[in-house]
Amino acid sequence: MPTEISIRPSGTTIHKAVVLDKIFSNFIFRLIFFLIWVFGIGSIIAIGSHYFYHFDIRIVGLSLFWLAVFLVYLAFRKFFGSKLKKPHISLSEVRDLATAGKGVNLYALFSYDLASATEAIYSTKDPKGDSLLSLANAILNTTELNFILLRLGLGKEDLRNLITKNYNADGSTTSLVLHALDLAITANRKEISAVDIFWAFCDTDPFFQSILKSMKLVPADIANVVHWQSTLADKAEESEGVFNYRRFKMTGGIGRDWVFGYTNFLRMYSIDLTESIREYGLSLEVIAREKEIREVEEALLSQANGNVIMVGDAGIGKRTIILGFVKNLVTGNLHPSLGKRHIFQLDIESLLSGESDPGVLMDKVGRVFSETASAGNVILYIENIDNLFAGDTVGKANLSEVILPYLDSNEIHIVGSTDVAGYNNTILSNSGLAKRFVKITVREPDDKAMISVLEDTVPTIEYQTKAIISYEAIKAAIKAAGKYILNQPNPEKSIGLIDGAATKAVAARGETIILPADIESYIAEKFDLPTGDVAAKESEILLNLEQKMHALVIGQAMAVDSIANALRRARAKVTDTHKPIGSFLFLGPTGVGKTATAKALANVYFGGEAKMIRYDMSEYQNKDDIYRLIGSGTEQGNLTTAVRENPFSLLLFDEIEKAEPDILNLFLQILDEGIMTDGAGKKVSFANTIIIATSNAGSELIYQSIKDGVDFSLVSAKLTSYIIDQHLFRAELLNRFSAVIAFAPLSQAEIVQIAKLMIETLKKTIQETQGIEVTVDEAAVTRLSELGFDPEMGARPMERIIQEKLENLLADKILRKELKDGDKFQITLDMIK
Amino acid sequence: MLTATFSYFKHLLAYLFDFFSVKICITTLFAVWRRDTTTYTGPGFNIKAMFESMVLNLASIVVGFCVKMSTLMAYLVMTAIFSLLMSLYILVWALFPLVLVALVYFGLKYLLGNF
Repeated sequence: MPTEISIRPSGTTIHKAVVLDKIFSNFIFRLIFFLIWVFGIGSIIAIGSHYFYHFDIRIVGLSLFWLAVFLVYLAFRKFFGSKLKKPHISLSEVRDLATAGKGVNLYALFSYDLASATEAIYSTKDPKGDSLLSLANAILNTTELNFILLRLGLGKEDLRNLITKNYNADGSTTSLVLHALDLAITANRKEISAVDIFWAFCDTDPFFQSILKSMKLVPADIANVVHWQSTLADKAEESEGVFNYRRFKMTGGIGRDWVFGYTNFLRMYSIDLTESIREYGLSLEVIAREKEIREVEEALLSQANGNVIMVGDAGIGKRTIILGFVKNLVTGNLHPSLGKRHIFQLDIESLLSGESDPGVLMDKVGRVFSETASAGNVILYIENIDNLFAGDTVGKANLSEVILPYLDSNEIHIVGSTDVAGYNNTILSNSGLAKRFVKITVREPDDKAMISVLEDTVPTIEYQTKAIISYEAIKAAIKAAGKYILNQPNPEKSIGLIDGAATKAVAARGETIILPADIESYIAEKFDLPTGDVAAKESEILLNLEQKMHALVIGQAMAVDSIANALRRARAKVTDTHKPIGSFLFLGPTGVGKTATAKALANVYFGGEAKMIRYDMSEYQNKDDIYRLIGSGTEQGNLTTAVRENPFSLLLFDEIEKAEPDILNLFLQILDEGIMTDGAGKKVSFANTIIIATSNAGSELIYQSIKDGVDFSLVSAKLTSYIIDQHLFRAELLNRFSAVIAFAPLSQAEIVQIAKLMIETLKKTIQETQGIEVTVDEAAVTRLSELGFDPEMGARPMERIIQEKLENLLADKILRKELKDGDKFQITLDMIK
Repeated sequence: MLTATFSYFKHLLAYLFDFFSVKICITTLFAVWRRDTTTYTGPGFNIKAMFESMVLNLASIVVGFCVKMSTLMAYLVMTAIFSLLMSLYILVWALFPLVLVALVYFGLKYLLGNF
């Protein structure tokens, strides 16, 4: 690095400004300046009034003299603000000089705020004074940094404490300030501000990077927040200053509509967006929609086909595109031939409502279009334009016949919007209509553009909710919206999340800062999800999952272990995917505990069996049954709807081998991508579900192997290849499950434990419902387990035996009033016949 | 500073030109008012109806002419006023030291009497 680069306050104009400001900021000077202002204004009034009231000539003389003082003061202020406080050389020129090895003084480029805060560091003769530590502390004294720290969720004093206690870099600041200069140039700034210094620290210094890392931020995020600040500052600057010519908007003036026809009838059913934006402006920036706006402009300019249809889901930003188009029109950023156009948003509902007579309806619509054509300067914007052409919504009136002739006219232009289904069903199916519109597909903005969109939207939410939204919360909202909300497009879903989280947080805490935890808490409440970092309670469940499940499931240690491991991986966020939390294929004979394991998991993990959605796949054996699961254009699917309403649930597909093979193909996409498209074309996320499919397939192999004394862990490994060889399931399906788990037949000892478990459940129920304390002696339990054991049927007969031998006995005694609330009752062997 | 003032003045004049739609007013000075025309379409040759239609169209042209001429006049007046004010401002700016001297001179003169 060239040695000529220095940071010295002495001799720089900005330093003069700092020194002068120090002198003039004491009380005496402030009082003097105040008096100059008061008497200055007074002298102007006095001179003006003299014409009418003829004061004493000495008052006029004093006023003239004071006016001279006032003018000198104003000139000095102007000089101080515009000459002393601003660098006189561009940053890139200085950078070029520095690169060329010529002498530059970087202090001369500092903003006034930064120069004030760092004057002491760079004025001192102590060589240790100019250190990174001093600079880091100094920038915290500036106001320029407030916005950045607030949005990053960093407390100024917390950061100062961290720096004071843990930061010990004492190297020179020159290279860091030089880097800040580069960053200021990229941000198109005219001076180096404290923001650029902080940005440079985050960009280069490991200590600051570790702070960012602890907050799950990267240096690129700082760049985003800096850009956010610059955008807001530019907006504010645009409307500041008395002699700011950027306030002049060339709109065509008062006579812009005088050469066009009247639109009185049209105005009854529409809003003039051009007039509205011209009058009130557009508060939001239209971000990441430049391509679509250009496409609309090009289509409207086309001689052959001057009509446009924007196709995209509701909430994706079709109206924003039109507003952006109108804004460009108002500010003169469109082709001149579109400059005098007015964009009218036609309200179809009010136009079509209240009329059932097709003739009157057609006349009304015809009048609107005829007036539009004769006006000569109107572009009609029609939301959900498919409703205008759909016969069922407008009675028997064939509006296509009325409108089609106008679509060919050069005097009229239409911009319509619709969703994919509306376009396919109404526009595309009518070739006459389809060929007269240029189709523009509107897609969701990507995550990077979404940050800018939300940065622009956040001030409105903040104004409405009185909350401050942090940058981290914006990132968290985009991530959460992408993960949990699949049936709405961005930006709507991310904006909705931030809005909801801010409203919730403000209701709970009053005016506050919205952090990622608020977004997660809102998501958790909205979708009944345990989101965010693994909470202490959930962490405890996950770590002890095997133990908790074994309390509910007897035996099947391998199955329980596999499930527990898969869930720990998912919830600790070792893998960040959109796949289901876990997917398992349970194989084994009937009555060995496959369903019981699924229930136990729903209980332990999701807090209740109600979170288990069960499908008996033997009911889905025909091709048409697929629509019962995923829905069709007119019906809702019972799988897709259930998952949409309960995104955090356990899905149990019993006897999956009996389902129609085409239905099994659906599982390929669910297991692989965690997403399914329903019959209406909307996506459903399975990312927060656990999927368990059960099957008896391979039971013969399990029995035979047990009979042959083969180690069960080897049986489990052999089972998958056996099932593929026997064509019971396709290999691509099996490979997509997180684990294929074999359930071993239950032993006599396990049946005894199951009997005990069932008896415990029964005892608990009787205690809770009847207040009777029941005990069953050991001999009776052994007898019950002998009666309920069937090697072919597993534990299934046990349920029947418990009903027959215990429940019947207890019911009989309760009905006979032999047992009542508060009694104790022991069941012995001789009571079990 | 003076460059910025000139730039503002230049933009102000352009804005006034746009605000009063000068170009539209001049190019359509004799056009009908807001496309408001009547065309006789028959049936037959009805001289009275044709005459009425001609009178209405002429009235529309006259209305348009009056409105646009008034607007052009307003433009000229406003441009003259703003030009005067800006010239005064520039003059004061350019002669600022002299203005100060004059203010101090007359101020002291009136204050102290004829010294």
